[in-house]
Amino acid sequence: MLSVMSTRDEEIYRSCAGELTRYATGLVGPFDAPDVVTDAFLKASGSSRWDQVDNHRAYLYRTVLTVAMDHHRSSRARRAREQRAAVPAVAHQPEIDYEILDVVERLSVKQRAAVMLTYWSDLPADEVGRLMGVSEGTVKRHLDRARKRLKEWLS
Amino acid sequence: MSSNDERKMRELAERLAAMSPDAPPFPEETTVTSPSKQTSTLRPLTVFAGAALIVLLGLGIPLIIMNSGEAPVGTDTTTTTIAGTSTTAPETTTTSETPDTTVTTTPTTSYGSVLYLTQDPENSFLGNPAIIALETVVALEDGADDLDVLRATINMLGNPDLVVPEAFSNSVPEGVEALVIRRADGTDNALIIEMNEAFLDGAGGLLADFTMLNQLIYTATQLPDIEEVQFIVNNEQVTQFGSEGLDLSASVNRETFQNELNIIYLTSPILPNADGNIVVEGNSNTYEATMHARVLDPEGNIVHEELGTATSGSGEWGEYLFVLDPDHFEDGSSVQLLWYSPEDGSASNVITIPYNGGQPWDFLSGS
Repeated sequence: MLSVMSTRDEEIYRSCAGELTRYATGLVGPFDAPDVVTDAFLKASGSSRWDQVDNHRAYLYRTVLTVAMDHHRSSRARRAREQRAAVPAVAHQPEIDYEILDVVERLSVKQRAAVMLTYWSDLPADEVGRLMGVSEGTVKRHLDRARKRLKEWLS
Repeated sequence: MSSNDERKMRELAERLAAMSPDAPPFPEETTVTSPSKQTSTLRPLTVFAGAALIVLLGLGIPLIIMNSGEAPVGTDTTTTTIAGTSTTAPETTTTSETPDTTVTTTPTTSYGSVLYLTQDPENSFLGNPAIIALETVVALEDGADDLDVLRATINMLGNPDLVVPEAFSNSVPEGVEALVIRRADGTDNALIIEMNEAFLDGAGGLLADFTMLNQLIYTATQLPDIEEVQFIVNNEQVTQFGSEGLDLSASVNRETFQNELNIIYLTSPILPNADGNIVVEGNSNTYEATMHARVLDPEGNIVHEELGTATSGSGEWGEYLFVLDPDHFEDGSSVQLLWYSPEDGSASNVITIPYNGGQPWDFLSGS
């Protein structure tokens, strides 16, 4: 059937699209972040559970992580092609920090999520775990592993 | 952790966030929603991805290939089990000889896991297959968690490259895939597994459907704290599965379809314990709970046989455990599990499991 996104959905989207895009930037980089956010919102709002969800923001955070993980796995070849064939962007694009992209490449997507939510969003581990769909202990493990991966850069 | 580490981690997050582009516009195009709730829409930002890079390429700025898996030069391999023992190896960053191209590889770790294949028993009245637990490894990016390992293991079952050893079978059709696995909200012991649509078709026939489900359920519940799983597809409960339209809207566990299995099966891989003895354990439902384990030499001759008693039998499922002397084993040995029919004394519901010397099976290369 044909349907149109509701006004409520649009309000939900507009209230958190910015923070989700920053979060997604930490997970997949600035070039793919808008795609991941769009895909995540369509996936979440197309779910039959969407209308029963109490906390849409938390639900969208989880969906962004899920989409980012799949995107991360499936997009390597496509990304390489796009990088070879891309055209100049028309949207606003902040300066690309290649050093930090190189650094974050050492982390898994879940480790990036834990880092972004802990250090950018300033959330405690239990809240990070809630947004990632994992336990507080798992969040701490992800952060610990991330620090080990970044040992050289941190020193 | 030092305050310097804290500061640098915060700097990392802030520098990442600082690169964030504008939020994409609200996807207000009319969407087409199928009856199965799948939503599709135009993706106006597809071209956006990577768009700025061409400019940078033109300027000769070094290109970073994020997570390139095409040239895994110098990838390190370590081994970790789900149970948690691990060894670590140095992480590797490889810079190619091309001066303007940096390829960063992610270290790979081999994680121990258990795959559940099946075997058709000999001399079985019902002909239900047995579940057979086999130790294997999956290679994943270092830092993968237990659910990542579980997903990779489940996806081996539907992997077209899976090589099933001659002694076993696999009822999971090619292409069946777990897309997402997460812990169910509000419980400590349940998983929600989002499968792809190929899952819904089942395995072609009711018994094959049950066997497929048992393989997936047993593989998914191998984590010590997980007792049940719920399968979903397209974010919806599965109410029509396989050839008979089984309703899988409720959670399922190892007991749900247990009666569709051979009355003797193997729940844990056959492995040596700390004392070097070979441990064989599983579930059974035999007459008076009695059953036998045999060790066969490579030619199939019985070199050892012993009687065991499960915790239950005669209509109730129980657990059995054999601890076998390693002196009975040699390269190419097998373990045979059976019970003797009280009617005619014949060995019944016999399953034969090749012993792999305590080494994991490599199902993707056939060794």
